[in-house]
Amino acid sequence: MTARVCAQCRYFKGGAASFEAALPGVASLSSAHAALRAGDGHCTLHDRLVAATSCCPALEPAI
Amino acid sequence: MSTVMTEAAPARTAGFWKTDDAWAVCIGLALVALAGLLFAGGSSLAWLAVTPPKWTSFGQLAAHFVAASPRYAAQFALWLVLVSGALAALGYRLRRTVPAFALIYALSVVIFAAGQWASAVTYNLEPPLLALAAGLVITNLGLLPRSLDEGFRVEFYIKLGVVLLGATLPFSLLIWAGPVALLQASIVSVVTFGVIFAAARLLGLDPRLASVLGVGGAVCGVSAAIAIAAAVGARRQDAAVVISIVILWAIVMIFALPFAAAGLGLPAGVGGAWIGTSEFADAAGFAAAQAYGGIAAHLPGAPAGAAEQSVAAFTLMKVVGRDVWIGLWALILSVVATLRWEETGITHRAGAGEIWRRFPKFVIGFLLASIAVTLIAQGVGHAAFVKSATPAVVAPLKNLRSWAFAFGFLCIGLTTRVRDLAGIGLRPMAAFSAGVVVNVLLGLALSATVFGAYWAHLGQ
Repeated sequence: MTARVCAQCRYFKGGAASFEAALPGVASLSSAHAALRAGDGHCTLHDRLVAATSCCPALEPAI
Repeated sequence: MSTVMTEAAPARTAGFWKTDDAWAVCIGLALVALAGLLFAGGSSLAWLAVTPPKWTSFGQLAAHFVAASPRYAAQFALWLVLVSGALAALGYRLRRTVPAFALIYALSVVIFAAGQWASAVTYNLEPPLLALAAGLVITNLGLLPRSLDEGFRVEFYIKLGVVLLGATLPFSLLIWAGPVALLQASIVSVVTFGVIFAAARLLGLDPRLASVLGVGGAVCGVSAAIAIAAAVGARRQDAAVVISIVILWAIVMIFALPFAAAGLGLPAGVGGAWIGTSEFADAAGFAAAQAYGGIAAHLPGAPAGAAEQSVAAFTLMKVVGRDVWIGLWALILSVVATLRWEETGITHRAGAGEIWRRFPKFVIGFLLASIAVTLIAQGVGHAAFVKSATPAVVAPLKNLRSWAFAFGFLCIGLTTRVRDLAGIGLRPMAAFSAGVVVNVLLGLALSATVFGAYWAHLGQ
């Protein structure tokens, strides 16, 4: 299986708990469960926030 | 980072039922429906929607709690079932959310009662400010275990309050006032974003960081920051910096804006519009607007309903005027990031669907609640609505809204740990602060002069 988008990549952390852990303070005045997050997550390879539907040449399928 | 202008392929996006918007809308509309059904059956939700009354002595207050203890017990049980059920659906553990909510409810009763003290206004003991201050002290002194954070979900409680708020605002008011709110909010948002972005670039900051700073100040605070950070592919650390700056400024503004508005003697609607233009996050803004409503209601010549006017003006300005456009900002900035900024190696598939995917869905619940109560009003006629439906339907929903907001205001403080926040950095702070100054002055000018007469008479 190949990863086509960031949400399918092993480096993508999109769960609410990991998202809030990556960004301290988010839960004070917002939420990782907010609809407007739209599945965004943290790319641990590039250390950037990325959309679930983004992609890059380094995509690797989640194990 | 490059952008491919096409509709995004389906991905493992968070399901609707994993969002706090979904549960806030469902619970809020269920309560509105319950109120409507009980009214149709000749009954009312009022028994359950109890709140502490105005009091002048502890004996009076104690007598109320003794007499109304079954009502408080029933209300607590209802909230506990609804809240813990929703949080369980979001993935939180009952063994943590149940004690957390019990604590929130107990503290909210105390704060609610303190705010109802007849002399509270003399000492500026506005419940939102009390809740925030109490929460900040409790959590920053390390008095609670972090495990309870699973029940301290600020956004869920505030969104639930917003849906219930919809039931207290006639839909005709939203139609009448919406365009002006949209115009004022658009002017201030674009100018504020421009000032922050330009200042950040002049100070040598990365354009992605500059854009995240800009929307944090111009659109909807922390929520905007995380949405735009992902849309443009900003560094995680940059997003963390912006979040810290927004939280710091938002908390300052919760206390500063209501007292500044009071010092200027602004009518409640004008003050609410100003706060809606100049606060950064919904939760913080509702705290400030509700606090100012309480203050403005006691200003000389304040009309009946002044307290509600502040919250209504805030809602129109912030929720209708600013929040709903976050998807459009995301689309535009992701395209600009592709065309103008240095590549990051990440490709973002942006398209018009971005506007809907990032739409704050709780706003739909707010609108539906408003429509539902407006239909009830049309069904029974104006006179009967004022005489019977207002005390039986609107007033209980307003009380439940006050509880939901109280939970949220308390949780802002309970989840804000100063030592957890990222280092702020002088240049990002300076750029953001430049935008704050322009935003506050421009927002005041538009709220108090250009559209002043409009906001001062909102809903009258």
